[in-house]
Amino acid sequence: MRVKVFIQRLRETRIIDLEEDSRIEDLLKILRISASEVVPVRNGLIVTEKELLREGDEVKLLSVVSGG
Amino acid sequence: MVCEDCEKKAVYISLSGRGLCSKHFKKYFETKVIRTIKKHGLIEYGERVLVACSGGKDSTALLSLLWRLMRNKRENIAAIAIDEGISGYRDVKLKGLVEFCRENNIPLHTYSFKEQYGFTLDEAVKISRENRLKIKPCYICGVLRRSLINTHARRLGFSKVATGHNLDDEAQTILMNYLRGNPSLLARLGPKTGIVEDEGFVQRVKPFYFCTEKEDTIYALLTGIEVDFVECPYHVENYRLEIRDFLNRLDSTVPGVKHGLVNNFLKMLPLLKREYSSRSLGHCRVCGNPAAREVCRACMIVEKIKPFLRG
Repeated sequence: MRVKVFIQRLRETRIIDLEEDSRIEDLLKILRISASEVVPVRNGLIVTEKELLREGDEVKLLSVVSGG
Repeated sequence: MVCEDCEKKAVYISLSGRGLCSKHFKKYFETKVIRTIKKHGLIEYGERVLVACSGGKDSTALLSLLWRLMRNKRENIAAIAIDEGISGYRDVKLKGLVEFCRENNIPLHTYSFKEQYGFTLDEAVKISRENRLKIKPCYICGVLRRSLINTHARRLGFSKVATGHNLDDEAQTILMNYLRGNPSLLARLGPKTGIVEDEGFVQRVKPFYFCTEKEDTIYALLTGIEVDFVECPYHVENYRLEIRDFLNRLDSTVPGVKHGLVNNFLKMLPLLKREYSSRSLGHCRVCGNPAAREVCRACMIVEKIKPFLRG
């Protein structure tokens, strides 16, 4: 399946291919992002790392670290 | 994953593996902050608290929470912000803070480096680089900002300055000072800062001390505070950044290392405070703030920068 991911810290949107029944935590592993660094938002709602992803999902990874 | 308390969809999983929905996460977060304030005596009944705000999510979330908690004593709370003069960064952040305070009728006191010291941080950094003064931007910013906040908190009659520092910030500072071999700086940490009492010091307190940066962010998002990501242009020169990334990487393989670091440090803190509390403080001959030397660090920076100012 394919999901669209916006990585706030990099101000970058990527299209990522994942295996079926992948979760946010699998996506973070691929992107090499630590779960403590981001708040995942799936289709506009805050979710946990255990959230299952579906084809066509739009995920935002909001940065928890301050920029200063 | 669902909330352990109501079976709605979880927005957060605690370190112990507990799922929490937005409503129960807010309750969990606020309870943790209130417990920290009470257990460590951060704010006593009737005290006047000045919240040091940067315009970022942590300090704005703290201001929002304290403003609500102190709803029966609102004359005792206000916000302070320092405009260091970092073009494209602080001006953007402060715009949001001014708006937030206006919407919520929160008194906000704003001061700038330019009006107080005669130069912006951008100008000071340029002077330092051009003249090889070797003063790092974060050092200039931190020292001058703390000095201004202390001066104005005292002048305005506040007994505490509350900052949005969280568990991640504290874990980073502890590790940085361990690695640099700075035990006297370690002794100043903890939920209440400082080791030497002096009437010139307004004590700084950290109500978010046991909340992670991720928890702060979720709380800010759930309470409608904007979570943007504007990076300070001087951030790249920061040692803290490397420590932060190292701790986050470690925390993803060994969950809870940041909690462990801070909690173990707190067990040693009374010993450190005892060891370093005997050092006496004088007062800066230039500004009168408490100082370990004849001239405080803020005035030393100003003395180094000022001769190079044009006009």
